[in-house]
Amino acid sequence: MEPNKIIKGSLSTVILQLLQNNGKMYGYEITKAVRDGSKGAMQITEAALYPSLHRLEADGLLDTETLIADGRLRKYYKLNRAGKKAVVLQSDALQEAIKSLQRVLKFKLKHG
Amino acid sequence: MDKIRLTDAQLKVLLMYIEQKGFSDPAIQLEILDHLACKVEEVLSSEQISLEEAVKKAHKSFGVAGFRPLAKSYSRHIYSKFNTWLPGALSSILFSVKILLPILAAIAGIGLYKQIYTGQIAFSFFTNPLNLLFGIGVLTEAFLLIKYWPEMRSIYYQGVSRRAVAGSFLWLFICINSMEMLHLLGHGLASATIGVLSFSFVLYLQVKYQYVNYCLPEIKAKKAMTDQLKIAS
Repeated sequence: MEPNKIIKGSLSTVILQLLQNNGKMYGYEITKAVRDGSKGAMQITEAALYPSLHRLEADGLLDTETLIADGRLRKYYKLNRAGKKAVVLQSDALQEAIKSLQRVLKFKLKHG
Repeated sequence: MDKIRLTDAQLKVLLMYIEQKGFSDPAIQLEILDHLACKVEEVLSSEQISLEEAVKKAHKSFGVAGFRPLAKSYSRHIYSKFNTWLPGALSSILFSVKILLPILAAIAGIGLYKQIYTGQIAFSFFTNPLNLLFGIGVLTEAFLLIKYWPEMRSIYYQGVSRRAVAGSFLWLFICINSMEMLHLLGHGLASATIGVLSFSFVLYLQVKYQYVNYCLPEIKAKKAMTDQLKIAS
């Protein structure tokens, strides 16, 4: 299975964690961070990224700030107080899910 | 190769490209522009190709659906944001002094007029408070319609227009049920038709005015940026 399909279900956690690590980021910067951080193994499409960002903003976890950068308007996303709480919970849940998956992948039925 | 930064003239080319792809709303254009520009800058930083070729390459990297998912997501987000904002805005408008005071004054004036001129049927149309309210609504509607006509097609109107239609039926029901005398019912029905549309539309445009000027300040900045880019040479 491609890594992108695995990351799809954890996209909001990935976005929140990136914002936790890097402060405020804009859309393109987030896609580049995922691509560069995974050394090209994973990529987020715009069709997946922006709905997730808007959903997180609607859920009250992100604040936005529109600034002029490089001669054009750029919307930056950053965690607010509720977002900082959520990132810890979601990150822990993802770590737990990864550990459980690893256990399942190593599991062998005992016969007899 | 050094990082490339697009000039205003080059950004204008991108803006025109986005418009050619069918996205004419300034707010959506500017949502797409920055992401597209970043991709174009990355392509130009690594390849020796023309701007037009870089734009096409960057657009292709958005996928089969192109800009549509981004635009659709942004439209839905704005509508959702509007839904959250609307109840507070409506109550602040409806219960504001600017709205309540004239209405109360008109009702009081009509009541006094009716008291003085009881029995003069010719003026009965104007002694009904609801009919006078509808007249005020029509005049206000006409004024605001002329003032805001150029902005009517923005995506921000879509949510409000649905409420105006729903509000129209509710107001019609209220108005018809408040008519007491049969000969005034004809006036009531005629003015209710205008009044229904007037009242809803007045509310609709006032909400729009509040939304644009007080609830989404980035809209102005975006419009200014779009205008600035379009006149860049």
